[in-house]
Amino acid sequence: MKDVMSVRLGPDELRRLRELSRSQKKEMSAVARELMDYGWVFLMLREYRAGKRSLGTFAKALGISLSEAVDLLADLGVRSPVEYDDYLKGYATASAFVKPKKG
Amino acid sequence: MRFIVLDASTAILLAKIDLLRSVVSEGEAWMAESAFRESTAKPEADDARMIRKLVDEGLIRRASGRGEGARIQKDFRLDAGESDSIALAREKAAVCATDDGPAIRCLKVLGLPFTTAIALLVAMAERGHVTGELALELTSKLERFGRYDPRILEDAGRRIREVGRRGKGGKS
Repeated sequence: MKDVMSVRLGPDELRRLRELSRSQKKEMSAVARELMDYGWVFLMLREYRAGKRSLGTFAKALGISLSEAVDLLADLGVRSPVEYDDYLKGYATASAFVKPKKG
Repeated sequence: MRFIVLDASTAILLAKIDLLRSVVSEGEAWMAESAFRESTAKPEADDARMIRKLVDEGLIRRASGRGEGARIQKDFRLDAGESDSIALAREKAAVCATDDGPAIRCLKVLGLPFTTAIALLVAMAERGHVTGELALELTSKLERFGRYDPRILEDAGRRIREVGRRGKGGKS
């Protein structure tokens, strides 16, 4: 069962909902719910990009698997939080870890 | 250092470019139980299948978190998989492989060694486990899934091309 909530909308918000409802041929309430979902994803993306969320907490907030989160970030082209100096340190560690191939 | 602990982010990236098997064959590879569960949560995904297969073959071992992970999770606002991976790396004096920004910050604060998927790819190419040509192809795959900074991709490409030149008769 869905909860009912009344929200006061400003003229711009109402105009956007009407516009979207018309173009997508959906009820305004359905369009409003979809926009809330998009807004949530956008907010989580911003937090992830700002380093406030790890990949795991980002995926959990969206209710998707880590693999799906990686695919979503790739589709949207969201830059990795790995910085250049992190990469160089990681490279030095990897060089010590990986053995030369025999033969 | 012959132990490596894979966080889900790096395990997934390495599985997506089909380099995970080669990397875990380099030493004793571990995953925290929570990281394993998170990385295989979508069982039909190819990367999840690969990770599960390597666990079944015994090439990746699993370990449960022992308490410190919960404290790290709270202090650094990480997920259970990320914090348990860091706690496990600390316990085993292992390299922690992660491509997660907050996890890397935590590892730096704790003074623990870390690496990333792209750094492992470059090292694998330089050590002769992957040909230069293949490594460049995998770099372009990582460019999509890893979404690295252009400077990182440029440096990785340069190092890999250098390997290719040396392999064609240049000095080693």
